[in-house]
Amino acid sequence: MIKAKNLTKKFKDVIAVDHINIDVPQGQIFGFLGPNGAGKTTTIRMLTGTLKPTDGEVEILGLNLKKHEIEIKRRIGVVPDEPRIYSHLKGFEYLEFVMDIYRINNKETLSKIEDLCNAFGVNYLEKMISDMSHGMKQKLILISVLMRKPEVVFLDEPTVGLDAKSAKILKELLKNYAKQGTTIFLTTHILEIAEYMCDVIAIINNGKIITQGTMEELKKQTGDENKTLEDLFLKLTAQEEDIKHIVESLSR
Amino acid sequence: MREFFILLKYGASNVYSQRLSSKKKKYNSFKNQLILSLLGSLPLGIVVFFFTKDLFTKLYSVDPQISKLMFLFWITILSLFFIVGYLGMAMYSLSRNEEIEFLLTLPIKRRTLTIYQIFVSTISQLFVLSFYFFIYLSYMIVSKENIIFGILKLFVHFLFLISFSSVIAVLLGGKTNKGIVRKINVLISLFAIFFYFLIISFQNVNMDQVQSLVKFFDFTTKPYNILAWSFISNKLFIFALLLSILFTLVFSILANKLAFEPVERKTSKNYKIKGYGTVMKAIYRKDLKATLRYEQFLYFVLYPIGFGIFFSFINKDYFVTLFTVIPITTFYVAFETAILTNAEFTNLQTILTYPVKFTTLMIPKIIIPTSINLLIVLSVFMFSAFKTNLSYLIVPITFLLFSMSSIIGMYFVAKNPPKTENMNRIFGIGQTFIIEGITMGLAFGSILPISFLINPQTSFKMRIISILIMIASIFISSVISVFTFKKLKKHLELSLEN
Repeated sequence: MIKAKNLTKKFKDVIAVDHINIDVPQGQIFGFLGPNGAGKTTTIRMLTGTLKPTDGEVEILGLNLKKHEIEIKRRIGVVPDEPRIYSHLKGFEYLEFVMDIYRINNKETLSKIEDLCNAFGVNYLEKMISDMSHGMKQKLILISVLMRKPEVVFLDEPTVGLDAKSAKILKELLKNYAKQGTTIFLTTHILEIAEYMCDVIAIINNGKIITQGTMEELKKQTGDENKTLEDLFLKLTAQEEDIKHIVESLSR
Repeated sequence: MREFFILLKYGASNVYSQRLSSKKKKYNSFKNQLILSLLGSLPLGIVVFFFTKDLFTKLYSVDPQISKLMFLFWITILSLFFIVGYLGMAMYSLSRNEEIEFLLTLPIKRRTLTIYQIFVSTISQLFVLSFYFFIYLSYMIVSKENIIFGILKLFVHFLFLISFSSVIAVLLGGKTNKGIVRKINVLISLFAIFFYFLIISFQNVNMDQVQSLVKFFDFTTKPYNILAWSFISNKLFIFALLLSILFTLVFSILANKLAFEPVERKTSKNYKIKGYGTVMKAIYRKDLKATLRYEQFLYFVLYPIGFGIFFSFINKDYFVTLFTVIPITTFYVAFETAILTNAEFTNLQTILTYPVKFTTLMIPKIIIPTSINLLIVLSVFMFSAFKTNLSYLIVPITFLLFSMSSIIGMYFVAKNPPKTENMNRIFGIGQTFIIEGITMGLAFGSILPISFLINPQTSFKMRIISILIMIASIFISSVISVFTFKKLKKHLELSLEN
């Protein structure tokens, strides 16, 4: 469903993403982790056709992204890392806009919107987006994506700004969608979420995927089955020693 | 006081400098903006000074009382502008907004925050304040008033207006939002500009007409005209002084207790979500909403029309309306396109995920401002064509000019996209000058020669020159349009690579 081969992005002299390979089959929840600036968002942007790769190929839903960009975009859903949407529109106007852009206009979508609004506690669709908080906008974007039930969903830090109930609903909803065949590509800094949700986890650091596998496989790689994902993550990204040193120095 | 100056240095710079992405932004930008605003209002103020001095001198020689009536009339009108503009701004500043939300977390007294907001609101009315100053200065000179007493009167007048409006603003705080404030400010700016021309037009009024206006101006001398109390009589001046002290005291008590209530925007729950199923309709509807909901749009539309009608009224020449409206509108089309374009660039990460080509999203940004403004020009054209002989050639030329301006506006945003949706300063000063030079220069070059061509008294030589200037301007406009469009396409493609 999501395939990337030798995917590379250079910004002038900086290599943000360095020849990475990804293969996510249908119905899998793929967790893409990494420290800040590791290349997660750049990768998502290249996979969703919002950023041209310097090198490499992307295939989504069996279609080449370069050749079938618009068709792929119509069939996937993307929740960006920041909920930036047209501030001059009202909430419901934004949903109408998305419906039109994706050429969907059916009773099923409308009832889906209603269900999602009830689930996430969205009772402010009459408000101007400029008057909404980060969390309110995040929920609106989530609704605009989930109402279409896309075949592949990319989510970049989707729980940021969400209240506990909404975050839990989202997690469960995504797990259910995956069971029904939706492929999910997720980045998060909250490692508990990744551990709880993801079938496969990849860790990227300095633009390179340093490890990839199921939770069990990752634990085996480090040779300690009792370790949490947080321990593994910090060890693999070589931050464990840094943290000890920093905390000691700051506690003085 | 230290806190107040720190707020001015760091806080107010954000009020004035909206291009947060600009690397050139410095912390002292408030000072720079203040100097720029002063320099901007100074030339108009000086012109107003000479015109009103001339007028007051003439009236004073006839009857000093008529001169005073005229002075009180100006002061009353200006005070009204000031209060409306100031109240709008202060009511917003004293309610919970993004800046206040942050400032309340800092160890700063509420009183200091309130005074700071009041100061910024006062400075926002600098345009009106400079008019005040220069009109009063001219009147003081003509009426040979004692300078110290005169300055005291002006000071008390300001104190009265500010303290009175501040108390009202505190009591009504949280009732306006940014949009309403901007709309009020746009209207005040428009009124101030027309007021300026009104003052100039008074130069042509003869003394008989002034005498007949005395009756109309008489209300300004009455005690109920609180907007000019300091200048009507010494008794009312003292009354204004006492009330100012009282209002200041009330305000200072309220200031420290100010809750900075959040603004409640009234919205209707009555809506029904319905899709229309067409991509282009969705994009056009969205952009049209953005255009109409943007407060400055009112200014962009009303200003050229008002300006043109005013000029035609003064000159009794209907050509003038059209030849004034077209260059100004051409200039503003660039801004309107830039505003719409910027909304896409600010939200680029979300927008690029839509199954629509980026260029498809951009086309309405050229078509909507061009069409709306062309409709305005067509209406003015029809109106003018009834009154006088006009050439239909104006219409396609205007279309070309608007398209060019729109492409230029979009190009500048695509080249250096601002990272904020606040559009107060969408273009830098340099860019504004370039756009102004190109659009207004070519608009005059393309349109003005038509007035010579349709005038039967124009000599053959002048006709040839006019035709050449017009063809050259049209040619340059076309070349700029095509050239900028090509560069624009390159920048739009580049936005996908970064």
